[in-house]
Amino acid sequence: MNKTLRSILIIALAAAAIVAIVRLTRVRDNQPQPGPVAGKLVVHFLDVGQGDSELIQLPAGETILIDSGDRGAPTVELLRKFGVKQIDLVIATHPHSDHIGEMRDVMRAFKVLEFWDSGFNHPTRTYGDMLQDIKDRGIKFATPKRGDLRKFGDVLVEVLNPSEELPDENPNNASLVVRLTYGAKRFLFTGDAEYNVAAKSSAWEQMLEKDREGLRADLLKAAHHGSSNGMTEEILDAVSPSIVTISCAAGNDYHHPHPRVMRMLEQAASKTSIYRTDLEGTITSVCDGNTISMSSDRQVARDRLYLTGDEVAGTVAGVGGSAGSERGRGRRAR
Amino acid sequence: MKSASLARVVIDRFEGDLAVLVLYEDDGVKFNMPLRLLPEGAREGDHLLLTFAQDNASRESEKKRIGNLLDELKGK
Repeated sequence: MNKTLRSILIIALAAAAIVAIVRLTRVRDNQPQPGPVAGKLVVHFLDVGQGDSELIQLPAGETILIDSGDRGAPTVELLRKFGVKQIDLVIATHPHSDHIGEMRDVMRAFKVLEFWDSGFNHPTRTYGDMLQDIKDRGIKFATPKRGDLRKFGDVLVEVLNPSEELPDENPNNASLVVRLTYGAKRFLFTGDAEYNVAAKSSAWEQMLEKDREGLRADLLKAAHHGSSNGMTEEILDAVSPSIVTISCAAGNDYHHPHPRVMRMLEQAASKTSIYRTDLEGTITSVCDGNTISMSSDRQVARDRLYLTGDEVAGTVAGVGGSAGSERGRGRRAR
Repeated sequence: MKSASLARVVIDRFEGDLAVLVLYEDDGVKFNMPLRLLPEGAREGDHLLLTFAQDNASRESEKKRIGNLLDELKGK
């Protein structure tokens, strides 16, 4: 082989290698969703199994975390993956462990500047230890109420629940419900707010009564993991979202999401699309103030999208779907 | 030797007809319990003392029943 030919070959191989590396990197860049993006509001509905956790990366770079998922959830790992360095505001919607169980690990891993809490005195070890950590770390603490608001650059954060008087018994009804507005788009984060006529004025009843029009939002995080007490026709009608997200684990023990809610959403399919962490993993929405684009870890076949929690768990027979046999065997992905 | 052991659990929440109980000394340990098995009037946030007592008579009678069944099935 003559010298020229050999050097041409080497150059060609080197070029091929560079192209291959660039390709790999591109693929990797495209894969998980972006971290903070200048000028964009990015919301990750984290796949934390049975529980809730939403990472919000604001257009000017600040970070908000709503809930942490349950103890042992991969929240810290996910926050690192999405490039979180510090958290400007943590919001604990209410003190149930599937919402605050990982808070102590989050505070250990990241500097937290401010903490919003429902203020509902739930006498559990999990809640007490979380408050102790907030105190020990000297984190600024507040229990905002309906009507309170905060501006982060162009993004407005408004508190819709609870009102001044907290419920006596059910922490779900003390859930901090917050609405984010960026440009023409609104996101509604609902914790486990319930609609429950048995409870003395539940969270949703109060919000519907006080300002029904004001509940309008483009994206609604279904309250209480798609449970029947977190969503009613009236709520769906008032919020009138084009996107609904549901956070829960595949194979959870609590029948989430509930058949009634899934039928309701299926009937609204022409105007409302749904995304669910149990089937799609972490869900990401990116908003420029005019449009919202959605992506997720995994794609889910259309005929599986409206399966109930029990159908996903395989504890009851599913409706329609080529993966029937797979379901029948009781997939208990945890 | 102790004939019974005691654990303190907290009712973290109710989910439908289940209560989610969390071990007080380690909130990484949790389990579901049907509401009907809880004391009357149990509320979210209640602390419950859980007694585990070995029931040897029950164990022995079950063992005997299963032994008989096995013998029958094996055609003794």
